[in-house]
Amino acid sequence: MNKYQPTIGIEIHTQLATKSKMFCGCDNASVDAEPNTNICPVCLALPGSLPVINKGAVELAIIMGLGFNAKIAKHTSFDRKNYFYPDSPKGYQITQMDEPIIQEGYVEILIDGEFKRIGIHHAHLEEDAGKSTHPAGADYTLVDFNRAGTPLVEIVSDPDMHSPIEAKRYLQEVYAIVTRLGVTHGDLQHGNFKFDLNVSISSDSKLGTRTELKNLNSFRNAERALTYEIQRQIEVLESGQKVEQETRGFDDTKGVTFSQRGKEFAHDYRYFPEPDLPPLVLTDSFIKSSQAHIKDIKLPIDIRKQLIDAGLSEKEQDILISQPTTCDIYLDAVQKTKNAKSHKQVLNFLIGDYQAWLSDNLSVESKLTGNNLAELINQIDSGAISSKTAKDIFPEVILGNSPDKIIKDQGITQISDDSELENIIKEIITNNPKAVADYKSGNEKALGFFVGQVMAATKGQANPGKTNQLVLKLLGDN
Amino acid sequence: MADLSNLSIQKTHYLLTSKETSCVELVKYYFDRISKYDGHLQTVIILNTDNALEQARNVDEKIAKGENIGLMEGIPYVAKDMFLTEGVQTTAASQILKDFIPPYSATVIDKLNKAGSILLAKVNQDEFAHGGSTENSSYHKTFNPWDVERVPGGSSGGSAAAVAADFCVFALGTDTGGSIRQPSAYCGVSGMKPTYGLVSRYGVVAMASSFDCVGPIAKDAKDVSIVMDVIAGRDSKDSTTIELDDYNFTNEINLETTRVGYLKSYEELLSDSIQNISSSVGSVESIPDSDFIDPIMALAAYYILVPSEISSNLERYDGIRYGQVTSEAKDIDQIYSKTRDEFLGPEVKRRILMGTYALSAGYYDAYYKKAMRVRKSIINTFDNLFSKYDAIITPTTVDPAFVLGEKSDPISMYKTDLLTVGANLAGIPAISIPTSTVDNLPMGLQIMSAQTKDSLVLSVASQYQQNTSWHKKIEEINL
Repeated sequence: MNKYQPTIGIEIHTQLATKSKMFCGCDNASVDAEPNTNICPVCLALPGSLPVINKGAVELAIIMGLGFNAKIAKHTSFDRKNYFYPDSPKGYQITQMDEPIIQEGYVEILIDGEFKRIGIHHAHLEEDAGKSTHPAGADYTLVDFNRAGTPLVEIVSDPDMHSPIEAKRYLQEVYAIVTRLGVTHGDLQHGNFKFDLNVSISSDSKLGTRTELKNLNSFRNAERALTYEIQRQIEVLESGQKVEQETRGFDDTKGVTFSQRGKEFAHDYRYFPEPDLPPLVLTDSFIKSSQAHIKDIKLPIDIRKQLIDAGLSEKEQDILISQPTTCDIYLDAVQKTKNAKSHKQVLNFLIGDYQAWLSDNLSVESKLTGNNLAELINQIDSGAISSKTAKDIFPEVILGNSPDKIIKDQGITQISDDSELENIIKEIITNNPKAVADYKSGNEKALGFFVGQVMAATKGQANPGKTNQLVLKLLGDN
Repeated sequence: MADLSNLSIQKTHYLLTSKETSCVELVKYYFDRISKYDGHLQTVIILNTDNALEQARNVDEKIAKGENIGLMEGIPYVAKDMFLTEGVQTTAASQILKDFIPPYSATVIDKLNKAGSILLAKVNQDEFAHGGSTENSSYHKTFNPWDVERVPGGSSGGSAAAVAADFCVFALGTDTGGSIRQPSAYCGVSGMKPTYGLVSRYGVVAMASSFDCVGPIAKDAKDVSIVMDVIAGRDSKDSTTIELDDYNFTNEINLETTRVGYLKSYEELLSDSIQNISSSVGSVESIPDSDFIDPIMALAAYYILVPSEISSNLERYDGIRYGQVTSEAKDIDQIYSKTRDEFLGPEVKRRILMGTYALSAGYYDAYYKKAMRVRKSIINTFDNLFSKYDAIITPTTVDPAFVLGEKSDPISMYKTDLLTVGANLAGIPAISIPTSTVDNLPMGLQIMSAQTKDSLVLSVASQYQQNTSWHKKIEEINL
C-alpha cells in the first residue's frame, strides 16, 4: 500500500525545570507534595489575582531556542485560550498565539544513516493545568492544583515527517536536546514531556484530512500509534470512505487508536491578547546572557557526529544520547583513557554493567564520574587489577568512591609478581597429587582446577594470564 | 465635642492630633450616621465594625502616648465591594460571591491599612461593576443622598453616595468606563480615574483588565490627591503598573502657562467653569467637535472590548473552588451552566454573551479587532489633542442623576458613559468635580490630561475648588 504517503506533525509539551511556577511564586516541584499544597491566590485564580511572568521560564525558553537553531522573538506576547474545565482554574490558559518566543527552528534526525532536517514552526510559553483524577466507581472528580501554572513550552513541528520511525526519531532528538540543555527534568512518567501527533495520508500532493493522537508520553507508543493510525486511514480510504477530522486516543494494551472527540465538538477557544500582561520585550543583552549559561554544552547532534566518528554503533549512540549524564561520563572518560581498547572498555561498562545497575537501583543516585571510570579502566589497562575485580568494585565506584582508593584500601591489587605466584602454585601442586595425576593422564579440566585454586588462595587477585602461564609451566616441570 | 461633620482629611488629622476628638469618637460618629441614615440610602453591603473600632482604639493609644501619627492614620473610609479584604466578605455585589471571605487583601487596601486608615464598610455597586446606576447590585439598590428618588450613579454608586452622605472621609472606587466619575458627578463629590497602571489592580475583582482603574472619591480634589499619594505606585504583583519619577500628587503645579481646551458643543453647559478656569490658567480655548474623539464610536468600541474581557475574566466564577454552587447539577456542564445561571444577574449575563460573541471564531476580526483599531485611533486623537492642550474639560455627564428605573433599556444606560469612556480607552487620567447644579442636582466637570499627567489634572481641579464652592454643596444635604 505504498501509494499513500503519511504526513506527520507533532506538538510537544515540555515542563520547564524552573524553581517557581509560570505566573506566581509557588514551588514548581510538586511530584512528592500533598495535593493542593503548592497553591496561592494566583494559580488558584481567586478574584483579583494577576499573573506575573517568571523570568526563569523565559530564560529556559531562550536556551531551548538555541537548541532548535531558532530565532528568539525580541517582541513576544501572551494570549488567553478560553475553555471551561475543573482543572483550568481561571477558565482560560495563558499561552502565546501571535508572537511566540521561539520561531523558525529545526532539528536534525538520523534516518537510514543520513541526516534529515525537521522544521520547528515555533515554540511558545504557556502554563499547565491542574490534575483531575476520577476515582473508580466514585461519582466525583478530584482536582489537584499543584500542577496548575507549571511552565510549559509547546514545541510545534512543521509537517515534515513521513513515517512513524521519523516521528519517533524526531521525538527522541527533541527530548535529547531539551534534557541535555537542562531546561526540563525530562521525567516522562510525570508528564514532563508529552506529545500530540497529527497525521494524515495522501496519494497525491494535496494533504489529506488529519487526525490528532493526543497525550502520549512514550516514544515507542508514538511509533505504534502512528503505525496503527496510518494503516487505519489507508483502510478507510480504500473502502471508499472519508477520514474524519477528529481527536483520537491510543489504547496502549490493545495497540489501537480510538475516537475521542469529533470536529463538531471542537472548542472555539476565543483567543485574544492577555490584557493582564504587557508584551515582553527581550533585549539582545538579556538573550545573550541567558544563552551564555550553556555555551559549553554540546548539542546531541554534535555529540552524535562525534560518536559516529569514534565508530559507535547506532544503538550505542542512541543509548548515550538518550542519557545525557551517561554520555557526559563517556565523553570525559574516553579523554582520560589511553587507547582504542580502553575506549571500548569505557563504552562496555556504560552500556552493560552501568545500565543494569541503573535499572536495579532506581532510588539510588549514581555518582559515577568520567574521571573515576577512566581511573578504573586505566587500572585494568596497567594490569593492576583484573577485569573481574573491576566489575566487582564498579558498584562502589558508581556510588562515588575513587577506584584507586578502593583498590588501595581493600588490598586488591592484582598479583603479577612471578616468584610470588610460583610459590603459591608450587604449594598447590604439592598438596594435590591426584589432580596432578589427572592432568598428566590428559584431563585438560584439571588445569582449570589449579587456576581456580590459585584464585581462591589469592582472593581473585592473581593475574589470570600469568597464572595460566605459570601453572602450565610448573605442571610441565613437575 | 468638636463638629465632626463633613471633615476633610487634613481637618480630621488636626482634630485627632490636637485631641479635639478621639479616633473612637470619630469612627462612632460615622457608624451612628450609617445606622441612622443608611436605612433609606442603602450604601452598605457589610460593616467592618469590630475591626474599625479596634483600629481606632490603637490610634487613640498612640496619640495618648504622645507618638506621632501619619496624615492618613485613623482616617475612616469605605471601599467598593470590588476590593478584596482579608477576612472580610467581598462579593462584587454578586450572588455568586455571597459569603466569600478572601484570604488576602488588595494591594491598595494593604497600603491604606499600613498608612493606618480605617475601613468602615464595604459598599454597594453594580454587580461586578456592570452598570451606571448601582441598580444592578444583586443585594439592594442604593439611593442618591440629594434625592432618594434618584440613582447615585454607578458602578461605584455606594462609594460616591457614602462620601456625599458623610458616612466616611473618603472612599475607594473602580472606574472601567466612568464608574468613579459618573457617580461622583451625580452625588456632587470629587472622584478620580488615574492614569491606567498608576494604581495597582492586584486584589481588585477584575471587570475589564485593560480598562480597570482604581481611584479615590472624596469631598474635594485635595483629599483625592492625598489618597493618591498613598495608593499609587508600581506593584510587582500587577505587571501593568507603571513606574513614575514622582508620586507626590499633593504638590500643586503652577498653571500660569497651562493650556486648557473645552469641547465646543458643550460651551453653554460649561460656561461657568470656563469662566472660572480662565482666571487661573494660561489659556482656555474651544476644541471643534471634529478634532475631538467621536464619542459614539468610542462607546461602540468600548462596548465590544469591555464585554470581551469580561467574558474571559468572569470564567473563574464556575462554582468549583469558591463562591456559590448550584445544588441541581447532574454533571460538570450543569455545574457550570446552572451555577452561572442561578447566581449571575441579567446585565452580567448580557455582557458575557456579548463578549463571547465578539471573540468567537468568525466574528473576532469584525468585532474585537475592529474595535481595537478604533481604540488605537482614539489614543492617537488624544495624543494630538494633548500636543495642543495640557488639559481638556468636558461635562462628566450631559444630564444630572436620573430617576430609578428610568433607564431600563440597556442602551440608554450605556449612553450615560458617553463622555467618560474615552479616558479609559486611552488610559489617560480624568477627574470629575462638582460644578453648577441643574434643577438643584449636582453636575460634574471632567478634567482630562495626557497619561501620567495626574498631578496636572489634580492641580486644575484644586485651583477650581479654590475659586468656587460647588464642592461644598454636599454640606447642605439634608438626610
